[in-house]
Amino acid sequence: MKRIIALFICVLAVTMSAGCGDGGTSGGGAADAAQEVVFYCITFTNIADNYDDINDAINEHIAQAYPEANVKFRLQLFGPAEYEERIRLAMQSGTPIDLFTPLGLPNYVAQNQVLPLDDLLAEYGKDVTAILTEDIGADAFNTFKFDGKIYGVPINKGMAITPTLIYDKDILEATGFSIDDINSISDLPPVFDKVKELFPDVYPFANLNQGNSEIMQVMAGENDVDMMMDRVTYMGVVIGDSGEVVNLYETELFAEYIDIIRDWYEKGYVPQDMATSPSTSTEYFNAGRLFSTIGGYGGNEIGVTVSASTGRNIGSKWIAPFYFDSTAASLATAVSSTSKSPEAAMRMINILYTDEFVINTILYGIEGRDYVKVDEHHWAFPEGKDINTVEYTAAYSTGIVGSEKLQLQPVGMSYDDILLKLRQNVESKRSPYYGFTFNPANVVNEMTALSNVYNQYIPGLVCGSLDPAVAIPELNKALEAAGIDKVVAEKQAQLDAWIEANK
Amino acid sequence: MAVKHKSGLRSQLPFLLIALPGLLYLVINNYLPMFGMVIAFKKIDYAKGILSSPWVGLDNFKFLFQTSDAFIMIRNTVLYNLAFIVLGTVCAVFIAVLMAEVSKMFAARFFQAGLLLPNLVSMVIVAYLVYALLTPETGLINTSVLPALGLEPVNWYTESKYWPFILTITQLWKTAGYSSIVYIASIAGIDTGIYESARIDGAGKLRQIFHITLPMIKPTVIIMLLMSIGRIFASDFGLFSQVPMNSGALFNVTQTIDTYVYRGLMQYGNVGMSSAAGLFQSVVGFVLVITANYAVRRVNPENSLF
Repeated sequence: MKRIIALFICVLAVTMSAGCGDGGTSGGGAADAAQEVVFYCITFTNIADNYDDINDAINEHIAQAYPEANVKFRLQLFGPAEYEERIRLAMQSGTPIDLFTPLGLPNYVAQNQVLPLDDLLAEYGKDVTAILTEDIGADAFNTFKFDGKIYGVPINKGMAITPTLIYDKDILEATGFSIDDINSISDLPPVFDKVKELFPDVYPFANLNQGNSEIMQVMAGENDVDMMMDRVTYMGVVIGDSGEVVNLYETELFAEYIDIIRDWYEKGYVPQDMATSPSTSTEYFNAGRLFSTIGGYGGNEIGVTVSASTGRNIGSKWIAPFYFDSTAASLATAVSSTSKSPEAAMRMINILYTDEFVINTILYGIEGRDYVKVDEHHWAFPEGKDINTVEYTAAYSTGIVGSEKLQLQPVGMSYDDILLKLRQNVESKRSPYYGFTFNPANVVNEMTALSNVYNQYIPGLVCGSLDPAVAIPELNKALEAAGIDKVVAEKQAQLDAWIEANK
Repeated sequence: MAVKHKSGLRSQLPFLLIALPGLLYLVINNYLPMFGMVIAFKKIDYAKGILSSPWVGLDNFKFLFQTSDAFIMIRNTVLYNLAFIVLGTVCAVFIAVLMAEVSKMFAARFFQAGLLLPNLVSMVIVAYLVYALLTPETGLINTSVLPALGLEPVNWYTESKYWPFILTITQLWKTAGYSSIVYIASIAGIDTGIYESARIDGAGKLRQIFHITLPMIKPTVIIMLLMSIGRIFASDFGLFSQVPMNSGALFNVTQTIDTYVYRGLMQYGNVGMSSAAGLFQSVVGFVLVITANYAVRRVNPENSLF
């Protein structure tokens, strides 16, 4: 028995030291060789089996254009479902990873997965700092500051994602209404009635994302609700400039908007299984069985994109204002705390945000083979190719990487729209709490329990399939049991401290 | 004595060598990863690595018991598993007894393949098969079956009262055929002489089944039971998450420890808490196996696992 244990320990020791050795060798490259910077990037399109040629093209360009940067870039693409899992795996196993786009930065900060960037930005990120200050404002980095330190470089894009009505133009025309008649969601029911009357097979409204009717986003925009860094579950929000953190789900406001969607549900404007059905608006549009949906988009040309992907004549119009709250700037490029060379990583960030060739190669591939440049600002797939047949593309990752200003746009999308998006950053109504960040470290247990409560009730409520008279009281009882009060109190304390510090 | 022992070891050496790859596999696959258990007691700091991250005692376990959810999910996990174990065993034994009576080669192969097929279907596919039956507006049950019976359509994915039955039926449909294989094999191993003498004594089919087949496969049934009791705190994630289409309105009857941990931690990616939940499941499962085995041993030592 003792021998077996000894053997066991030997094996354990060997494998563990092997694990460490792996990490050691890759870090000890010669000083003058270019430092490799690995970028984990999300893509929403099919991932090519092999995209070494993309990396080669980018590296050739970097070597020529920025010899002093001394970096070697390596792109790694992952689908949205596995993206965060892959980041965690890479960090745990010592697989090289330097740059990535965390989907909830506070959690990464809490677990020390990302590096503070202040010194690096000052030394190696002067260009990116200048650009962000110009396009977002001097407070660009504030939303990514925790304990006074910057942990993320915001993606330079239109961050005002305005609730937008996306509708079938042909159907609207048939109803006799004009899009000018529709200015807020309260204008929709008469149109819906007419749609139902004329096209019994067509749903007047369906959800863009599974289990989410976007009614909460409309509510937030119309009533200045600051989600206080919790864009997913909205646990603890501030309404208006009251400075008081409240449980949104107890408010009249929430009940009011849930009643609207419940009414839609009861009148049959929406698919009855909207809360659970995996079918979303794109499929219904494709089948010609949908009149409208609401989604949050930057700019005002999403109709063009949806038309292209559904083959229908789709239009879009802002249906509620966007409230530029503490949550608005949520995406940033971060440097992994396991990075072997944070300096090189920051030099690479600087290139990512300022170099047209690098960003467009990441997004659209090799010019001529994967895309053709139509004019200064626009691209198209080569003759006879589309998003599924082209050799390489990551065309839907436009809002994930670098600077939107440098990205080519699909044909039909006006470049003015990009400028409009960036203008919206500055022009949207800004919450007085923009720049506040919430550190959930003290309430992790509560947040976990709360997110389960959220999953249990909210999809059913915001899709109208749960009776609010019964479900809202139940929801609040469950939230209370899961510790909403503690989270609200913690948020309030941190907000008070923030207000005090920013007076 | 000592000499004999030595030569014994020498003669056994080839067999031990044969076992070596399997043992190595067991050590590498099942024992080395147990090192990861320490994660359950740590607040993981990625910059420091697993070994140097600070210890936090039992903090990671707290979230499991934070709310009344703990009771619901543990209740669901245990009750569903009990139902699956009892009904599953009854169905599997029943199928095995029937199959043993099918003597024609072709028919036996045909039924066996048919019974096995559901087990080979992925849970995601099963979920969509169920969905095709139950989807409120176009599903077969609501559009054809219920109207034919003169009943109102049901919004299946928001009515939790039906789901204990739906889940149990789905699970049995999927697994009963597969679990019957063990029993078919053990029935095939029964000495046919026993049946012959029973027939000569005038025992009919039913009598043979109740007095020969069932008592003879009792030890197998007990071993299988003990093994499934060890997994009473585990649940088939696909069954409880995919099949109900992750519908929040059904959580009261579909939430199990696995789905709770998944839903709660997907968003925050806290490996410490995930490990804590996994460890909790394993420890309780381990205790249950030991207890069940002890109980069996008290009644009938021959049938216990160890």
